[in-house]
Amino acid sequence: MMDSPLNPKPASPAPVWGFEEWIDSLAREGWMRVVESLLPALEWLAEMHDRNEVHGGIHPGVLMPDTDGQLQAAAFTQRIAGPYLAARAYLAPELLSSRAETPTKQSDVYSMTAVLYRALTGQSPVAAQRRQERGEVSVPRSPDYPEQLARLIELGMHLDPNCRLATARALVEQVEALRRSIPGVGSAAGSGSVETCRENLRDAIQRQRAAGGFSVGSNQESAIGDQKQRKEGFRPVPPSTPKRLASNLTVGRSVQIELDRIVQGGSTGWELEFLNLGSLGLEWDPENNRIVGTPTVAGEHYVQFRLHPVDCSGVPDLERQIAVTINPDPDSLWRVLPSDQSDRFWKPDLDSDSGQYCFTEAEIHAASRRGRSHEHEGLFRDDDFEVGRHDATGWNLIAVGDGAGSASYSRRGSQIACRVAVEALGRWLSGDRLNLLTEAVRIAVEMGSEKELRGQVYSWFAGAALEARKAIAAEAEAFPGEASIRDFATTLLLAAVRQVGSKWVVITMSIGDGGIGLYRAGSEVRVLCTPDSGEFSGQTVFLTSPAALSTGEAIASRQHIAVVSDFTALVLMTDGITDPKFPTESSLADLTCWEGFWLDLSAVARFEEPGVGGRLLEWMRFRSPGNHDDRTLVVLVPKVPVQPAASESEAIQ
Amino acid sequence: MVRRLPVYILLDTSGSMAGEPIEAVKVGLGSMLASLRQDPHALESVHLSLITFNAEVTTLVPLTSLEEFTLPEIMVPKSGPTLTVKALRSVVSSVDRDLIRSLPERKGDWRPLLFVMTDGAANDGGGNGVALDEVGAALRQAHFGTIVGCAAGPKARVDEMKRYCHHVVSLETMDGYAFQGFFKWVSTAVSSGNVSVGMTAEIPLPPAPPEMHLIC
Repeated sequence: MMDSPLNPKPASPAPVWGFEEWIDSLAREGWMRVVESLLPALEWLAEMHDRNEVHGGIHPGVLMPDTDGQLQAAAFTQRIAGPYLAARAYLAPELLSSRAETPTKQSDVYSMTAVLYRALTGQSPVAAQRRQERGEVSVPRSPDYPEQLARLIELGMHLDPNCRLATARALVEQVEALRRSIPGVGSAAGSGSVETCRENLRDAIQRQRAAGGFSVGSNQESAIGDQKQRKEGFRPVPPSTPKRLASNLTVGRSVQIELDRIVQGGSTGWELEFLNLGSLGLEWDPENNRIVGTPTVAGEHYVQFRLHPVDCSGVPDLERQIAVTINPDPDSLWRVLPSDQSDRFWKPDLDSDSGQYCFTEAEIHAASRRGRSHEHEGLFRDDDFEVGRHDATGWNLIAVGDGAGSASYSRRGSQIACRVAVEALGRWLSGDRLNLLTEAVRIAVEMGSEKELRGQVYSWFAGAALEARKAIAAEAEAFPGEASIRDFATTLLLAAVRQVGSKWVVITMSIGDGGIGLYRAGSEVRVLCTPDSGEFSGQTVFLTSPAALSTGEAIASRQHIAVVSDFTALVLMTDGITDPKFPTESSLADLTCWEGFWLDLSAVARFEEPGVGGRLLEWMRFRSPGNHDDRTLVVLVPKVPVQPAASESEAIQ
Repeated sequence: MVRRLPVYILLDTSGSMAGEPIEAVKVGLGSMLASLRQDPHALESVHLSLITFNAEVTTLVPLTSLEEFTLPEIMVPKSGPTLTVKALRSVVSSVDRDLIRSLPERKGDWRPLLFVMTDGAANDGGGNGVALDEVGAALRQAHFGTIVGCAAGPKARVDEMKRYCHHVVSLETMDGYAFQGFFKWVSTAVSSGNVSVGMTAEIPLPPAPPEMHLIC
């Protein structure tokens, strides 16, 4: 329902005046009658300006005389945009330029004076503007009105806003000064009535103030009650209402809506009755004059209310409504749709490996779960992982891959990459290559020189990554015309970990986002991956990108070696976990971030008890706004080494 | 802070859009918002900016989160030129100003998306569309995940739009049905805008509904 922009019509059947016929009827009674009749409007505007408000839309259409020929404050304050087509002629010239400025008091003065001009001369103000532009005197001189009045209008309609009267108050004062300065005419014909009018206004304002302000549900004075006159013959001015609430609400989020966001301006003496707050989960708080509550229903709604004029019999209630958007609670929207098991590259939505990789020196736990955004669409888990063990040497081999969300078969790409890479890392460990690697590891552990090891690792890891890429290319070729290697785009994180004597050797390689951290509780974290993010989120490098392994330098820069005495955990994770837990490159290297992460994770995972995999999957359900990607985590936890002293004493026993 | 997915919507509001077309666009925008608000991921990440152009370019809504976005009044003048190039330039500078880029200690926005809808020819395209080509080059430098042009109605110039868009779709008619279809499709495209891509690859687009043709 839309409100009528007009105040309720009087009950009497008398004709309603239009501005033109009204003003022309006044003009026939002489200029003084014109000025007198417009004086209430001038005074209203002056009061607005006194309150430092701007009307912004004055034209004859806002001057609605009632059956007694008196102007209605309601229409004036309502700022009716149409349907008065000639309204543009009353706009100040600075508001008409292509770089339209916002209305000011001076532009109000222009519009008000233009109305006076129309009333006085019977001509549209456009005629005056044209003459002004030619630099001519704008208001024609006439024996029908005093020259001072013509000059006053010229001053009010000056093209340059800075040369105009500054406010409507100044305009009122000038008009009154003019009234007093015309001897004879003024005192005889009008002075008394103008004074009476002003006195009446003051009187009305006083009475209104005494009666208390705008009331809502109670008789409390409210901030929005302006002190508009309401003497007999005037009607209470209803407050204006925005079409739409300026800010949206959200289901489940408590809100306070101050009264001045519902109604603005208007005269005192209105009661507000809300009609449907309860159905939206809101209520009126009469103590603080505001709406409070927690919205319950999402969607496009209206806040409906009734304005009831107090002490004004014969004036009907006004029904108003304000559109409001209530956002759903994002958490309530998530669906879990199964992925299509008949798909060529289907794989389980959840995967975990735990207990299977339990060795004398360490345990490896891995889990991977489909992200909320994929669950919501019934899409596949694009992440994958693979864990392997080279029994002869004790090398633990780990791969984690994150298929590109934008590539259609990336779930298969990550699967192939992880499996092939771990397999290739293991296969490499034989013959001369193994001997050279073992010797390089010995040098690194015993002599602290990693140079030799770096050389061996280069071909070991680059070989595995390249083999993984080749396998993906072969898979793409198996579907000619349907898919290219880009459709299988995936990231790849690789790690090989081995205990050598009292030391641990950790070797990693990373292509793309996600993260690898070697965490030692309470002392340090070593970031063992190379950031591959662009300027914007979602930009990364893939194993399948030609640039990723194009040069020896590119490959070497992706490889990391750490030789340490002990550590709490080696963690490999996809961006589904790093984005929420380590949102920036700096935070991935920040020990405090890691301590929080590890406390949270280890409390839920309980690495010392069986069944870690299931608990990891559970932990991965954590909520983080905007982070709903697949999540994969592989954690290698060394078994606490038996203290030499303790073992000796055990042996003795 | 949640990573934002900035979405710019550039609407031709020249005189030819007056009347039924603009009313249909408004309805379409409304249902696009409603549809996006049903997508939890979008609700947490999408930020929208609405820009109109005719003889003037007006940013009706600067980049604002979907949660806070309210649809403003859209005015259409009775007549006047269509300053497409001026509008596109303004988009380039808005994007330049608005976008948050990744730093070691700060996560960047998702790459922005741009949807341009026009029903006519650019009046400031320059001879042989030189100005369009220039602004197209500037847009390509602006890191958009994708730029989609919507040629609305028979007078829209697909050839012009190809100069600055990655993709152009066309609507045969300019009625409510067509615009509804287009904006619904936009909401689907936006919903898939926050996924990992390569450094330069475009965001994949959803299939076009029957009332719309994907031209390129």
